[in-house]
Amino acid sequence: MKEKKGIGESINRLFKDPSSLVLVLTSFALIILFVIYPLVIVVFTSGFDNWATFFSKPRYGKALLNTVVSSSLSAFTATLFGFIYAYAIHYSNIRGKKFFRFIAFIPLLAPSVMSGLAFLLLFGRGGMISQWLNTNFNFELDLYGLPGLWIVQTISYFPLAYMTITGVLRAISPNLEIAAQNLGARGFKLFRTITLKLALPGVINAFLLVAINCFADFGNPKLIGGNYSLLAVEIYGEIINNEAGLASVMGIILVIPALIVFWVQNKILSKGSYSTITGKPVSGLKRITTSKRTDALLFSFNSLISLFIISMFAITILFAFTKNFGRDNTFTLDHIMKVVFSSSSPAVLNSLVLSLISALLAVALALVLAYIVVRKPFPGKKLLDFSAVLPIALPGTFVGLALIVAFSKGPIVLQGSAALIVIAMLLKQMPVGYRGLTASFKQVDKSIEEAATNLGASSRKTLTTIVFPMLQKTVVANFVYAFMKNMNTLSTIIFLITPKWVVAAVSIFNYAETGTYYWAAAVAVGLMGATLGTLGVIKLIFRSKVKIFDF
Amino acid sequence: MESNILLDLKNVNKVFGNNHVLKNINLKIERGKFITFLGPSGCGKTTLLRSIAGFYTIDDGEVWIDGNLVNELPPYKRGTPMVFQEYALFPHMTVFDNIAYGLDIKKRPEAEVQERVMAVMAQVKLSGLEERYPHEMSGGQQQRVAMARALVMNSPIILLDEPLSNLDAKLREEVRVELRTIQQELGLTVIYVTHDQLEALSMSDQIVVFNKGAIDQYGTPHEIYYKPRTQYVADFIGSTNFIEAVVMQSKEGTATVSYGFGGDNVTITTDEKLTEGEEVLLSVRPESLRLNHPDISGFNIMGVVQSSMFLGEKERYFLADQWGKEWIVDAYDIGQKTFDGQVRMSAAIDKIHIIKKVSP
Repeated sequence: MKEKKGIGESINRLFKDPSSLVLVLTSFALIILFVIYPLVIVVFTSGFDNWATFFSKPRYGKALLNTVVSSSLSAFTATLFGFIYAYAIHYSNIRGKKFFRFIAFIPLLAPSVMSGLAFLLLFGRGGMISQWLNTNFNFELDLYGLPGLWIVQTISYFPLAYMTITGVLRAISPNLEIAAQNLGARGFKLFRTITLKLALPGVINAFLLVAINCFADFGNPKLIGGNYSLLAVEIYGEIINNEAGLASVMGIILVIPALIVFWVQNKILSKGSYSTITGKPVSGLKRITTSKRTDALLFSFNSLISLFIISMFAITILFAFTKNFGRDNTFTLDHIMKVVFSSSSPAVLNSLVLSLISALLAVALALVLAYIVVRKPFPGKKLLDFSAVLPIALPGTFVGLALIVAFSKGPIVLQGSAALIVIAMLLKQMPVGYRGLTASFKQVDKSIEEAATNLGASSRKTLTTIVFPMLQKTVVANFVYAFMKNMNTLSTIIFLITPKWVVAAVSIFNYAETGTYYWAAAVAVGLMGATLGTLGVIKLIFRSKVKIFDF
Repeated sequence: MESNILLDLKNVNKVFGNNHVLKNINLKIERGKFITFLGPSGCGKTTLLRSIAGFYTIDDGEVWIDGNLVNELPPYKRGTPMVFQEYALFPHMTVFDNIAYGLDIKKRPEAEVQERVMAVMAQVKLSGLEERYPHEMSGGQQQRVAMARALVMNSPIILLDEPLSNLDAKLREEVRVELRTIQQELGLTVIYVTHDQLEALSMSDQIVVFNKGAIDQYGTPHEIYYKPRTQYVADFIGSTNFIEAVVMQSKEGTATVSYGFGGDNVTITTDEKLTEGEEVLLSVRPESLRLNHPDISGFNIMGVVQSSMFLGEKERYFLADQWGKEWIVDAYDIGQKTFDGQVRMSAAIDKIHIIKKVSP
């Protein structure tokens, strides 16, 4: 007797369950149309002669090398700083931990290009500190190129590294260190043999995440890179020149290191986590790990980082609310009114609307995908799962490139539409939600869904009446995250905006590039305000069901 | 004319990979009966239950419910409400909404839903707890919600998958009685899966004993206990003593067998069809054996007491017969009397049961 299984059987079962069938077919259609089709088009557009051109011009090779070098440097320092900062918060006895946690969070409200802007405002050719040094010490500060980029990317992506590492450190059971202390380990030895070893997978993960983000970074390199050419900027240049083929080649080249990084990351993570299990600390024993001297050092370090971040925001706010900071310090709301609230520059409003819509769609799609992949048998599941997660590994620049190349000519033309911007954002955020929701799904006991089915609920009914409500917390959290990332995305959509559909992040970039810093700053402030405002509204609606502003 | 058979399983087979979990299951279940699927873990009883509910597609055979072939019907169309072992209550819904769920799916009018839910809640003694959430209730209360949720559907057949296994002993006994009462009052057909023989014996109209994916016997509790048809059934329910025997003579309803190597004979009533010279097993329950009893001597075996265990209502003796085989004898209500050394074990001839060596 053989078991009835295999492709024929799963297709058979699917046809008996029409609502599931609809979900599966829709998912496939969307993924094929917006993930696989653009990728295929990019590969085809690249064309043999473009590859030849790429390898023949040393300028492109240099761009690739520069990208790898600067990304590695930035990732290294961002991770290092992120680790020290997180260690200080979780392991030391310093004061002001709540404050430090808050400081690490606020850069998430702003696009990474704002670091570039702040950097220019302080250290650029006309920047405050450069001017001061010039006037008082006759010293010409030129940090354009690699040095400036390194600093800016480190600060930009430090919060990302911090968040990743903090998660890992939090999961390490204090019992392990208490046990080690009990056996005689102290200070640095304890740190090196236990803490660092346990945190290592998370640290590596953080490094890789920052690296991928740096590869894709467009705004900062364009503002500060100067003559230090980088791949993302070159791609942009070729698109502007209508060289879709060459751009595609470079896009593919850009993707390769990212894919390698993604693959390495998966390998490390699949080796299993070292932390988790054992929960409560052994009662009566407290984890002692840092000396007073270490505490002082850590506190100074965190304070320094906080100072950097605060000054970044401070300078932006100052420029936004004064006529021309440095030359005319009168308070004014003119800039804000002109670039945030006027009908001729709806950039902030556009960002808000498009981000909300895209976040909603991203979460909805992630939910449907997670449901069918975890609960329903159907052929091609592995392909769907892979394609749904793939965009995580792709630099935002590449995603934008693929979309513009695929949809600027037939059979489907979406160029210049808001839809394409929404889709681009969706492609970057949906996979994250999908991964999180699949994990959540696996935690929901299968028997609860079975009970619903048993009482007469079809797949669709089970989804809407049982599954969605149970996952509400995760869904809202994913929505908030997607919304925030959408507001701040630049590299992904830089190719897709048109005069009709400008978003705030691009606006900031444009104004910064042309030197109208006060407008750039005003849009930045507007963007952050809109993000904060929306988060506040969400918090009001969902109250305890969602964790925002929990420090 | 409405058939009396509510559930008809014809040659049902289920395979998981290399594991043939259900082997040629043939079963007819009458309307209004309490049927128990009994067996150890891994015997297939839960697999069969889930196949009836539609969670598994069978690989061969037919499932007929109330005259309809349901093989191709997905779980949500089968109309076989189930009480899950872990209850599977919807955590985000109140007790009322949990119970009303199936009715809401059917889009029953609000007044009707209200009436039916309140009625069933009264039946399972949950009145007053409508607005509570599952996590705010005890295990026993959660179990009742799970039952109410299935009962309210008014479906002719209800499936229960070891619903009492997570309750403590006292609660289990209470619920057992209540469940049987409700079943009889409402005339429901219940299929109850358990590995607990006491539950099976005390609650069921019929018991289906599963052995490694096949049905060894389907009968009333009395039949299962007093007339087991296979060695497995005799051994699984309660305890028993086996001894090899050979058929000397067989007539309508009786047989004379020779047991032990000493050639003692005994004539026993039996339903089995036997042939001369056939090798059989005799099964004698520990409570049927007497030690050194002056009046009972139809069936005799000499044994030596090895040890004994005081179990309150009985003293359980372990003896070895002259061929080294172990015997268990339960001596009830003998006060301070003890037995030691060599004793004569005996039983009335109507307490001896013949089991064919080849399964029926």
